[in-house]
Amino acid sequence: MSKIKGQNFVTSASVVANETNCTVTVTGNTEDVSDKSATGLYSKESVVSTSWQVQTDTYQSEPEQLKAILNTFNAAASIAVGWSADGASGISKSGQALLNDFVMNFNDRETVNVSLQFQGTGALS
Amino acid sequence: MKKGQYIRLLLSTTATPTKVIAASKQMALHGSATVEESSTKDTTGDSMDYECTGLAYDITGSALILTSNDALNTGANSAADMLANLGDTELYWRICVMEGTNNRTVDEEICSGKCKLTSWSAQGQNKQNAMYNYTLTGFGAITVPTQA
Repeated sequence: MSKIKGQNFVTSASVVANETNCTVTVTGNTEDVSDKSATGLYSKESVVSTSWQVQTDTYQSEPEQLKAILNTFNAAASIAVGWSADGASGISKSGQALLNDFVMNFNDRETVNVSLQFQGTGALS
Repeated sequence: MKKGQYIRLLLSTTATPTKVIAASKQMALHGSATVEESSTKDTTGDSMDYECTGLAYDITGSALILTSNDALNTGANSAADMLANLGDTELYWRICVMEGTNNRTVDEEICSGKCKLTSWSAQGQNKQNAMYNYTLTGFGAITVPTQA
C-alpha cells in the first residue's frame, strides 16, 4: 500500500507558505429529534448542517508573507482555500473561508512561526 | 530576510516609535475575528455560512530585565520604561525587520498600530536572569504598509 504524504494547503491570497502541518475538520451539526415514541434513554440525533475549519502551522521567512496574512485578516472577507492532492493518491477539497484567528510567534533567533485558523463558510467541495 | 536581520517590537507614546523592546526574548501578535453564523432560509444546501463581525488583537512578549546603564539599552525600552506606561496611556507600536548594531536600525516595517499596556509581570528565579512579561491590547486597525 502506498503512503499518502502531507498535502498542500493553499489560499488565493498566497497566505500560506512553508506549511508544516494542516488539519481540516468537517463537523456534522446535530439536533436531538427524540420524541415520545423513541424507546430507551438514548437521544436520537439528526445531522441538520455541516461546517468545517482549517488549522495550519507555517514558517514564514519573508515580511511580504506576514503582510499578506495581516491584509487578509483586516479585509474580514472570505477567501478561496484549497487542500490539494499529493500526487494521485490524495484528496482534493476547496471552498471559501474566513481567517478567524492567527498567531505570529517572533522568537529570538528563530524563523517566524505562524498559526492560522480558518472558518469555512459554505460548502467544502 | 537577510542574515543578521531580526524582527523586533518598537513601542512609544509618540507616533512612529523608534525604541525597541530591549533584550526581547519572545513576542507574539495574536489576532482574532468574531465570526457569526449568517445562514438563512434562503441559503441553499446544508453547509453553514459565516461572516466576520469584529476584529481584535493583542501583543504578548517577554524580555530580560537589564540594568539601566547597560550599553545594549541605547535606543531601547527598559522594563521600567514599559511599566511606567501601565494604564490608559495610548501607545504606538511597530513590528519591524531590524538590522545593524544591536538590531536598532529599521530595515522594513511589517505592521503598526495603537495599543495600551494591560498586563505586566516580572519574575526572578535563583541563578537565572530576571524576566518580565507584558500584554499590549490593541485598539483600532492593524496598519500594514502598502507594498511597493
